Amino acid sequence: MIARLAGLAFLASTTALAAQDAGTLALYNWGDYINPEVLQRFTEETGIEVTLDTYSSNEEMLAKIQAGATGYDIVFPSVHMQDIMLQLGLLERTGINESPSFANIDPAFLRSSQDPNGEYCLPYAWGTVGIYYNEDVTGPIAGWEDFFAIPERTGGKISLLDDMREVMAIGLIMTGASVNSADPAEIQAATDYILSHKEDVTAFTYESMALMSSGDLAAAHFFVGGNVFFTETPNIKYVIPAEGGTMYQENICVLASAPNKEAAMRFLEFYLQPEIAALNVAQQFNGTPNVPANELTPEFIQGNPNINVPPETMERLQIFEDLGAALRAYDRAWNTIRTVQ
Amino acid sequence: MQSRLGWAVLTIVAVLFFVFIYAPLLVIVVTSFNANPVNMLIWDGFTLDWYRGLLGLGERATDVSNRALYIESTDQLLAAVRNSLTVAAATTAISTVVGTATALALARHRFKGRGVYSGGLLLPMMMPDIVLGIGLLIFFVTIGMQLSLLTIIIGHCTFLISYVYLIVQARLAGLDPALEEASADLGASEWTTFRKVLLPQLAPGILGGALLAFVISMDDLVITYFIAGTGSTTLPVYIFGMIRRGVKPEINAIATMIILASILIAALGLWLRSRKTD
Repeated sequence: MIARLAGLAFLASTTALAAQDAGTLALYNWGDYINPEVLQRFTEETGIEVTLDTYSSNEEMLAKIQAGATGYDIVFPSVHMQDIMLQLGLLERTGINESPSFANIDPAFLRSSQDPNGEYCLPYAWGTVGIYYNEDVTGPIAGWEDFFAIPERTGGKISLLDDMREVMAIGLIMTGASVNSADPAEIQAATDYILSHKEDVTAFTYESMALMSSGDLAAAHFFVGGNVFFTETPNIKYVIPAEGGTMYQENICVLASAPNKEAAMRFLEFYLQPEIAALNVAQQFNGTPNVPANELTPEFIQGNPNINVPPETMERLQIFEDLGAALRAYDRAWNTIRTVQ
Repeated sequence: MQSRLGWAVLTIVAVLFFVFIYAPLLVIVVTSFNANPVNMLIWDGFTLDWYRGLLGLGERATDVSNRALYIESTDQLLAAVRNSLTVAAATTAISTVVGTATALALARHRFKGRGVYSGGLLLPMMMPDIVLGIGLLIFFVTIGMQLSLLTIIIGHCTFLISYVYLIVQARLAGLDPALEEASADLGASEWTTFRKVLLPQLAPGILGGALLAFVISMDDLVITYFIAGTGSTTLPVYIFGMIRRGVKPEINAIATMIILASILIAALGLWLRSRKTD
């Protein structure tokens, strides 16, 4: 009995030691939103073991953290979700902006209204939502007007994302409103715009990239990350619409309840290195706020102005903010769009 | 004439029924051999790479990784499968034993609060998953229990016990109590009666309950999502998280292997049953 107890105590002390030596880090991220090689490199460099769990929407993650789920160290909220989480006191102040390498970060990406100096979170990655088109079928496409004209002009099929905010954004952009408008008249005008083109739209779907490469769709509304499928098909192009498009951005935040704050801090520092940010871009095909990293990305990404976006294009991109009470009006509009015959 | 028409309609309905049930499974099996790494709908040639990768045999899909299209996260997928199997095996064992014992206690004994108890048992089954999920999460947080695989197992047991109970209880209701009385009259102890008389008759019900518990535990998404801790992502949660990037080809290979395992288990169950009745 005593021997067994001693054995247990020994086991406990060695595991405690091992944990102290290297430590662990628990990431909670969107599905497939980080290059596994980045995590491997982090473990090799620091000895810290990383676990990765995934979620599929901001709201899902918030619901879980807000209810008090602990054990996670780092989350990757979108900018508007970071604001909400800061107001709820769920995030830890990291002081990452005092790190010397923070100079790598383009200050334009400090978008959080609650955290304008980056005292809490590190801008992680961003991307655009635009139009994929099969040039053999559609000819050159510049923006939404060309996009919606495709079915009548060429007989090709087009699809939109099955996403309320993204689809409403097209209507709002085309009627000259902000994608975060709370004005009922503007929301109505946007709804009418989408409805007037609804019969041209074959499907509202996330599965459009497979249908693009099989030739079933002539054009589709999708995230920039879809380019990963079309590096060897020059006839399929991606464009950020001339009239304007939307963008998304996620930041790396440390939770106030994080059990391994030190390890989390080391991850933020680690991710500030341009090589690491570039390694992530090479697999994710989205943008990085890390300026020197943009020099290190593969040619396909670096040379494409629709992926590696120049400043003048940035000006026609809008980012989603939390809608507050106006969400209801969007919900109603979206229901109308999806159900009307 | 009328009956011939009736037969024709019935046949069509039956055929359609099987097509809708089995065609998707067939598609998964076929695409699990498709070499195309990004678009499983386009046939790109036959390959065993996805199986090889999953089973850790040799280099997996070298030409694929050269194309840089393909997101290598097989290790995460395997970890998710391992988590799902661990949870399903543990919950099946626990809920089968507890569910069967509960059904026996409620059927063979009279005690205070029996009605309330049997009604309360059905409640977790009727509750929407999201309510149960959030409720369990808040409960675990309140009592200070760290979320982990263990909390998933406890969470699953809360409602799977009800399923097992319901199935075993239905089987019990059809049994003749005279057999047990006869066994007791002949001097068998309660334990012997249970082993020699009750258990053989209940076996199909218990097996059915266990299989159902295993399957429900394997594919539960909503409840699991809320009560999973760090490093305990299960297969359904993992697949759901991939929605923005599209489903990986290995998923088809995993699904095919799971289908194969289910067929084997079902065949074994049927064989055991047919042997019993002989």
